[in-house]
Amino acid sequence: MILVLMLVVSLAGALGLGLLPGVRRAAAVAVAITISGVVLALACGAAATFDRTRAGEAQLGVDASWIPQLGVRFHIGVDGLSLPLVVLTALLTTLCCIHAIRYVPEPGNPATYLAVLLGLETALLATFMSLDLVLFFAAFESVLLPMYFLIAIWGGPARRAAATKFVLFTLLGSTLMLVAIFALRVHTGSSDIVTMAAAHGAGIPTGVQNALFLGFLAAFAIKAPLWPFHSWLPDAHSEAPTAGSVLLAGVLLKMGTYGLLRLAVPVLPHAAHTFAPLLGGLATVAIIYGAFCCLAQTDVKRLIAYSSVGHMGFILLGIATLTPLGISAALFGNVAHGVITSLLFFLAGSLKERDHTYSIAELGPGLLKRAPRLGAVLIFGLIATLGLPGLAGFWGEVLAIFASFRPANGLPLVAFRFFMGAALLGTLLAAGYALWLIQRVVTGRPREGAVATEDISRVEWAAWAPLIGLTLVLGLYPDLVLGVSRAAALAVLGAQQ
Amino acid sequence: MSALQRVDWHAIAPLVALAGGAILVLLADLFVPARRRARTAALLASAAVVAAIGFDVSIWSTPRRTFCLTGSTCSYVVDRYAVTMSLVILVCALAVIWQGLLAVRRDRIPAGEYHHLLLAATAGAVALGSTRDLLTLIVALETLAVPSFVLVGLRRDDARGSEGAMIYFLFSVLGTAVTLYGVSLIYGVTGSLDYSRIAAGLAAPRVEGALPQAAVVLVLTGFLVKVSAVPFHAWAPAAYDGAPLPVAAYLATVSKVGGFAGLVPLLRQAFEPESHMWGLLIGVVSVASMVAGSLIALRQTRVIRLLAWSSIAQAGFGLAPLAVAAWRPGTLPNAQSALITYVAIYALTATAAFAAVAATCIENPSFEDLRGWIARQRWVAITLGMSLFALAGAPPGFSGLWAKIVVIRALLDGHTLWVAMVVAVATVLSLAYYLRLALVIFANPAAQGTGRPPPGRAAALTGYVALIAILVISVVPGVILHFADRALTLAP
Repeated sequence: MILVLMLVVSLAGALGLGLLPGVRRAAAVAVAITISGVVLALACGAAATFDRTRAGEAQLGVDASWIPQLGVRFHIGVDGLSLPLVVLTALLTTLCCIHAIRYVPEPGNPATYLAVLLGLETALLATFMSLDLVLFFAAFESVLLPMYFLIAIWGGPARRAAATKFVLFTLLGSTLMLVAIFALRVHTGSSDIVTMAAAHGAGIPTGVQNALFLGFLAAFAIKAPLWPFHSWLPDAHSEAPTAGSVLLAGVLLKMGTYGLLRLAVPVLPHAAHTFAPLLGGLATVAIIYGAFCCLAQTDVKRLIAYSSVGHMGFILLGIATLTPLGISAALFGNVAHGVITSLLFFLAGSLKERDHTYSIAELGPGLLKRAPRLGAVLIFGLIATLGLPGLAGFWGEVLAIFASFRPANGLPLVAFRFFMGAALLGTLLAAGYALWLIQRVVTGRPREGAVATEDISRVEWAAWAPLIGLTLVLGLYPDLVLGVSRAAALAVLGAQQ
Repeated sequence: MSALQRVDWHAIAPLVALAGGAILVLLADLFVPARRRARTAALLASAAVVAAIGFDVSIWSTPRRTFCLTGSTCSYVVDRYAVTMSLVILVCALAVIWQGLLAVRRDRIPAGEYHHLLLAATAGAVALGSTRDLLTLIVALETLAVPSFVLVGLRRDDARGSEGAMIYFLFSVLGTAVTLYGVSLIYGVTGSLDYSRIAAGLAAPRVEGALPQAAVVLVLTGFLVKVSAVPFHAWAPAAYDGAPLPVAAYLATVSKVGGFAGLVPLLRQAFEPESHMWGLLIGVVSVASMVAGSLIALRQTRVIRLLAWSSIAQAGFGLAPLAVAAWRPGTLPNAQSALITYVAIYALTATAAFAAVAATCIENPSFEDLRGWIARQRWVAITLGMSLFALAGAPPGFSGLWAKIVVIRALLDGHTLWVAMVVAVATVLSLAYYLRLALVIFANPAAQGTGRPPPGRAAALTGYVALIAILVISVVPGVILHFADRALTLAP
């Protein structure tokens, strides 16, 4: 019931704010913070009542008949796979609503803007909670529209093109997934993800498994994004408003990896083994390619976007190893990347507000002198992203590298150790771009005539403190997430260990 | 022994209601003062349609047959399939009547004649789903077509209207002529005009060669014109553009659904031995319609033209399930159910879209005319936006998503993967052009508007009712699926 309540509350908030666009900003923001706060409280309540000893099973859910003629049930629940993501979604939405106290992007309309954010939250929560194939698909698609409007109405100068590219790329993947979903239903005779995951591909011929896996991979690789399907991401990020980027990087990208772990790997294990080297190879390319692109960027938001490509590469490499360690690394990396990159995008947004530019050259050196606290937090975020031990980013990367050293039985050892070496090189490059960015923007002497910049305001502290705190806590006590992820990873892999 | 054929009046009661209403409307026009004509005619026409709906509902449980020969074959059979299709047609006709009030008044269209023609054409559409005889089929097809020509050109002082009417007339008459030629060839090959006897005749043809198949293709031509499928689609944009807006809505809903209604019994009963051939043909036509309609719709900048080209693509989606006949004819009942579901959901959504456009009171709007309309007429803009998403099949228009899912499922059950892939890709394409218009509607207004337009209340209300129907179907699609699943079979 608690999950249904979360969906209902956020949907009600979205509809309420959306149908009353004339509401004044203060009232709209207050309503939005209340609604998202309630959802966050419910999410934390769900996390508290979640039984960690049975993290591999779906809990707290609902399974009701919905469309019997299509064999679709309204089946939702959370397990170790989705619970961290549900909490992350609720948290990030609340922080975005708090951020709106200070800043609603052009052209205004705060009530509609917040309504779109809450609608996006509803769709994201529904995606992570769905345990029925068709429901999952419907929720997966529902995410597109709020994100499209968020970018296309409140975005930067080239927003229309970026938003359209984002929607069409993702929609192409998800319609291929729809065909795969229906073919899967024909073969298994059911639409229930839990039953299909438990069956682990029994009764589905190998060739069909491979074809279906490719169909699912199309959708999730575009979403993740996996190189070479990533090209929509930098444009979407650079044109999206701050809250849009936060949710896009923090949660939307996780839909891709979540989908792989929820659907593709457990239901089609033979195909997963067949395509794991390919996935690992592309993920490794993503790590290196993302890092090199970061080194070449002159726009700070695009740099963070490409760093996302690199981080998702680590997560996908962890998945490709098909071991409990690797999948745990991926699940941890999901949360860690969500927290760290959201913080970075919030920071980028604040820099834009103050200096009216995203360009690294113009943001100029010496932020530490002009706005010391802002500079300090930016340093913190960047070294978290490079994977410094003691902060959240470290565990996702290092566990993925460990897992790549010893992949699952039947996977090519040499290839994966090569991937491991390349991933290590990738961490070096990540240090390169992060430290170089620190040198170019934060440290050093400010330019002549540089104006003293406003330091972090109270609203911004309120929005960022949870992220800063989580980065530290997850870095020092990773069991917070790893505790539930191991059982979930075992459930994903099933009998084959 | 009476030489007169016994007529089951209950079976043709909907037709009688519509025809009687048509005549009554025309007569009433003579006695009602000028300023009350539009509303009176609309009320009378609605009463006729509601009566027809009532009769249809009363026939639902048992099939009825009439116009039977002394053997056992009947020309007019009203089974659940026919009742379902005719209910869709009648509901859409009701919507067309009410959203047309504004246009009738503003464009000084003669109200009595307009409603008379509308009811007459609707009668033809209703009859199409029940025909079991090629001659009755032609009569019903023409009853649907001929008043439509006049309806399209009813704005007498508009050159575009006359042009649209002429193009539609030429296409339609050509299509019917080809169909008639095909009918005569069928008669030559099989010796009968009755569906069951034609099926027997085609299974054991008296003629060598490809003549039976050629005849089947020729007969289908007229129907493909009616549903505006490629390559017989070119009349649609011109006709939709030139016609008054309610007539465009009528062409997109009543006329198209009527074409589908007549097509299915013809294919499944009369042409059943040739199912491999027509399955492949319909598959190719539907793929071509989906692709061509979507690609050209991407280029449109006027709303009505967009809806016209998109309705060509939607005709492709609707025809797609029938393609299973070439691969797994055993799954045709499922395909029929999918077709009914898709066509019903499409018709309701198109009704909402056209009603919302009518409610904006702008004559043939372009995309720019509707920029930021959400600020001017919030609920009309929401109706139009939701119906665009529903036509695309993208959330929040879940009703269209269920419709596409039903079609894809029928295709996959029938092992027709290639058409299913095209449906998926065409859905993506369609989202591109529907989303463009939706974004314009929800954007900020370009400049201050030229004052609030007078609200088209009847049109707006029609739109809201249709929107509520779409929302209900979005949450509980079982409402339509329940009836579609009971309309799988055709009574002979």
